[in-house]
Amino acid sequence: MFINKRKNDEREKMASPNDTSQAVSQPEPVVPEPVIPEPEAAFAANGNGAAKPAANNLKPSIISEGFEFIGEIRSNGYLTVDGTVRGTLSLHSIQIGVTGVLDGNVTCDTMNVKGNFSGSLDCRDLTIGSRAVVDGKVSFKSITIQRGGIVKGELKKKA
Amino acid sequence: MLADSNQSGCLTVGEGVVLNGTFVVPDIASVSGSIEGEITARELIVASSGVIKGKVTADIIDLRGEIHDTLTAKKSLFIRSTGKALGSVQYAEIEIEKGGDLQGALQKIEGDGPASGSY
Repeated sequence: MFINKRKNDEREKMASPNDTSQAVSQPEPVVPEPVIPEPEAAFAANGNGAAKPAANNLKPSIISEGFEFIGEIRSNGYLTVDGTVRGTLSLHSIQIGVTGVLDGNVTCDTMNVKGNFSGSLDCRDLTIGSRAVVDGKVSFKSITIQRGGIVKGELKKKA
Repeated sequence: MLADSNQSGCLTVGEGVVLNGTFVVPDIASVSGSIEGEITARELIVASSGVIKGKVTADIIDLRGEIHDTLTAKKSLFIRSTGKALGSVQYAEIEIEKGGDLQGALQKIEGDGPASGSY
């Protein structure tokens, strides 16, 4: 990031060699990395311990198209799956993209499926898109299926 | 409602009416009351007060009430926000509004033609 800025400055300098007003020579102040609060702090702020808080301060993780992951993922944040994930997942929020394939044991708060899911899923809010395929054991508190979405297997609503 | 304009081949079960038995409806069945037994229709509309317990088969099902046991929608199944489908569910095409309830064993079947539902 810093290097790019320097390059840009140099380019500007080349474009207008007569313009010496800006202090190009002065080094850019180093911006400190933003401090990511501990997820526990977010939990504590939420008085009602039943629902997990939205982990707004966590950056989303992305398994991109063509990427295959096998294993276990645990996070309080967001995951977007456009590639393939097989394994055990425990997250706050998951989105499976149109090209995404997720196969395994999943526990999360919100799940949005546009691609392919198989396995067992335990979530609060489930949204199934019109081109999605969901196959397996699913338990949820609230479900939405868009027209065209395919659901096979066992569905159970949690109290 | 559609059933009001064309009564031929239609069944209307008013609120508070309780029916028991086997029903074959060539056209539209609209249910606001309660049915226990077996019902086959081209189109089945269950109002929010409607409850059906038994074996239900229809091309198109529009569900605002409850269906228990076995449900087969040969073309499309639309569960509205107040709708509840419990038991074994077979469908060619499905849609659920947020708040709608769907529980049990789900199976997708091949639809015999495009859904002509007028949502």
